[in-house]
Amino acid sequence: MGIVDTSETPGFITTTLDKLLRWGRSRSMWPCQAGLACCSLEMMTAGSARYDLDRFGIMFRSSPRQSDVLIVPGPITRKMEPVYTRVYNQMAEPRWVIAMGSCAISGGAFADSYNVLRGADTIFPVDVYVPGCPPRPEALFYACLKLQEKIASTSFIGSDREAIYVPPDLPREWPDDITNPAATCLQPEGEDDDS
Amino acid sequence: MTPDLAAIVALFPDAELDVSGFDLRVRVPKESYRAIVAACAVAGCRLSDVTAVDHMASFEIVVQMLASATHQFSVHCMVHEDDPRIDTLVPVFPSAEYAEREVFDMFGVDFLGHPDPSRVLLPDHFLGHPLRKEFGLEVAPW
Repeated sequence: MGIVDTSETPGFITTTLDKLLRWGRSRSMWPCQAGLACCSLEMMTAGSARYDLDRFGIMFRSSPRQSDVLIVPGPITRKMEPVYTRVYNQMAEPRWVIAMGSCAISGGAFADSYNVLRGADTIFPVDVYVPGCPPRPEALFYACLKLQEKIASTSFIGSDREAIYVPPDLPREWPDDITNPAATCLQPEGEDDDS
Repeated sequence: MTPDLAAIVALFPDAELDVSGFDLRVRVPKESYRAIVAACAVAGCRLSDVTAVDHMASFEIVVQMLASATHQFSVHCMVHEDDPRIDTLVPVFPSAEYAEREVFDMFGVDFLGHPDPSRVLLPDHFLGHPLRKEFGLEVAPW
């Protein structure tokens, strides 16, 4: 292994470097330190001395510019949606998202609420879903290991993977007749289904 | 010493004291709503919470107050749905500001003279008032 005879076998270096990058990326996932609800307490516990996420190379960063994993630990309300959209957009590519808990998966117990999104994947793509209410730290470990497998098996050199930018979608269009229960207009015209 | 609520209510001919419920209730029209709350404040009562009940045709503004540490009563005032406006209690109790903002947020009741009549819990671009009975969740676009 190493840089040998590149004229004979083009692409050999690229493949090796790709492998090295994948290995490095999967072993240094730095989640953004962003808590939402009670799941974030389990997330903090997972980072504490008893469970110790650091031994997987997972260290929480206080700036989205320094992190590449966004753990969504709780329900995203409509008021928090622009904040999380901004945090996601500020993270450097490639970036990954872990939806932690029922609320981040589908809205959970608040799915019928007037102010809670039906899961984190309504605003950005999610890589790993962790069921539970809240999930134990071991479940978050398992999600991190699964994400390591995904990162280690995904090539980023030469791939046509495009950066995902979530446009700030504010304010969302609402039907005019908001107080009429007989209103059947579920979606504003010209907008794709994001329910 | 607990203020004499019956004596305060007797000062207002259009207010009535309801003793049939679990706790004392003072029912007032919206004209003398702030005056009677101010009279209670002068007598030593303290504000606990401002909230509302939707009765479809009207809103019932409920002001939870404490006459002493153990004596609780409430002031009730009906506001018609077509004209959901009522005087603010902020000049009497500054702590009513956030409670009234929440009532505006959830029910759409305007508090006249409020220093900051904006939403407090929901985002500013939220349309509608979700605790109204006619608020339909099926029109939420997500």
